[in-house]
Amino acid sequence: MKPIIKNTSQKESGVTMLETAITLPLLIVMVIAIYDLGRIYTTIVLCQDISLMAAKLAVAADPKADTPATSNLIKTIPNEDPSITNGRNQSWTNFLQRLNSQISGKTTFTSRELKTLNLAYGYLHSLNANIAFPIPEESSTAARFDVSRELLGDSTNCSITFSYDLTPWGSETDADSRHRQFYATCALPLTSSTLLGGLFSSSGLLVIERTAYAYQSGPAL
Amino acid sequence: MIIPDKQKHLPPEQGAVMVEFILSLILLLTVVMAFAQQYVRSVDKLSHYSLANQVTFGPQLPTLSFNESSGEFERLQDTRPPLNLILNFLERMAADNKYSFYAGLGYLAIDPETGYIGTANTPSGFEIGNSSDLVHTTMPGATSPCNNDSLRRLALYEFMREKLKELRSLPGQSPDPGDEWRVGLKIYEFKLGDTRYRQYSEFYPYIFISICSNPVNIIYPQSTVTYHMISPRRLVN
Repeated sequence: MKPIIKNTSQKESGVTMLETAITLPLLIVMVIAIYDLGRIYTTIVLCQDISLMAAKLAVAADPKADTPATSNLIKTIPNEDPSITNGRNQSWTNFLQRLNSQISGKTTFTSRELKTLNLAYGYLHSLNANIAFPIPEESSTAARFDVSRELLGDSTNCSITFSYDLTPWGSETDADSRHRQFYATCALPLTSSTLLGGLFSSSGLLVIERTAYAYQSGPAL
Repeated sequence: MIIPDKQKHLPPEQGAVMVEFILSLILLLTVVMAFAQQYVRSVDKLSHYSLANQVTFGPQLPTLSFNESSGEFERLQDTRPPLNLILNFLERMAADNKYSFYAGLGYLAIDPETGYIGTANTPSGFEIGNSSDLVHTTMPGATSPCNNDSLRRLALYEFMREKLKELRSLPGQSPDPGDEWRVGLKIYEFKLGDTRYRQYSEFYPYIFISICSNPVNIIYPQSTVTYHMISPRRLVN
């Protein structure tokens, strides 16, 4: 009687082992990479959508919203360390300082700017309630969004910011109304860099940014 | 060293397994690469639609002129200034220097008394000039087919014609399809006694844009082309 399971030779077992040894790590890497690429794609779409929405809101005739304090435009992660929350507050201060370097005397946001940011962050929150904002910044001298993964934990953090654009477009109708370039920036912790030791990004974070232009979107001061 | 005969060749079963393995590995890699190719193309397309969206609320110049002596709205004699402004804006907002942008201005001819498409003077219902009237910006990094001028012009011109023909085919003029088909820009409307008076602009402008870019090549060179039809803001001199 023939056996159902044939005894494999040592050579056959070796081939199978070799196949498995090559295939299995490759498959694991591919699954993780595809997972991360999927997250990167959805974050790109999110950033693009948010920046466009912010720009549309900025050029709206009269954005209907409360005028919040910047300290209210913060969303923390659950059980967040106070140092991270301080970093979020610091990012608002840094944001204002960067605007002041463009437009001298810019010490506060205008009511219209705060309304726009309020609505834009509200839109972001409605799309994904798990995203914390804004991205914390460690000090006033730190480069923009130069943050560590330790500071952010494992959550995605996003910031909505803008800068003034002083380009004359040759079709100006209101000299007091400034152009703004809105940025939606998200810091995305990558699973691959946790498991594969920074194959895709040494910091373990991928910063994705998309921009949209808000032509003549109100006075700066 | 002399290798014994039985070690020179794998037995047929093991050889078949190896061939299977190599083939499936190649197939898997091809699928992943094709996925990546579509991925970058899709991201590129997304940025095209974002750019076109920004044009709608970006800097614009009037696309109609008002003739004070005749009291009529007219097409622009020179369509380049408003189109060039849009191209400058698009070039400025482009993510890299691999883009080419083409833009054209087309007009629906509107019956000023009814607001329906098509007039006795313009039975076709629209005017788009010639493909040589299109303006373009080709950035230095753009490669074929984005830098193929005749192809890009022809493609946008055909898009303009087909889109406006589609609008022309809407029920208009006869006998009286109703208010929802009055597509013209209304200048005024009032009722005096039992008579309703209204006046529409003779033309309704549309801006047409084609955006072409060369995303990263993964398996083979590719391009992403999108076409956009934009209703400009209501700017008149």
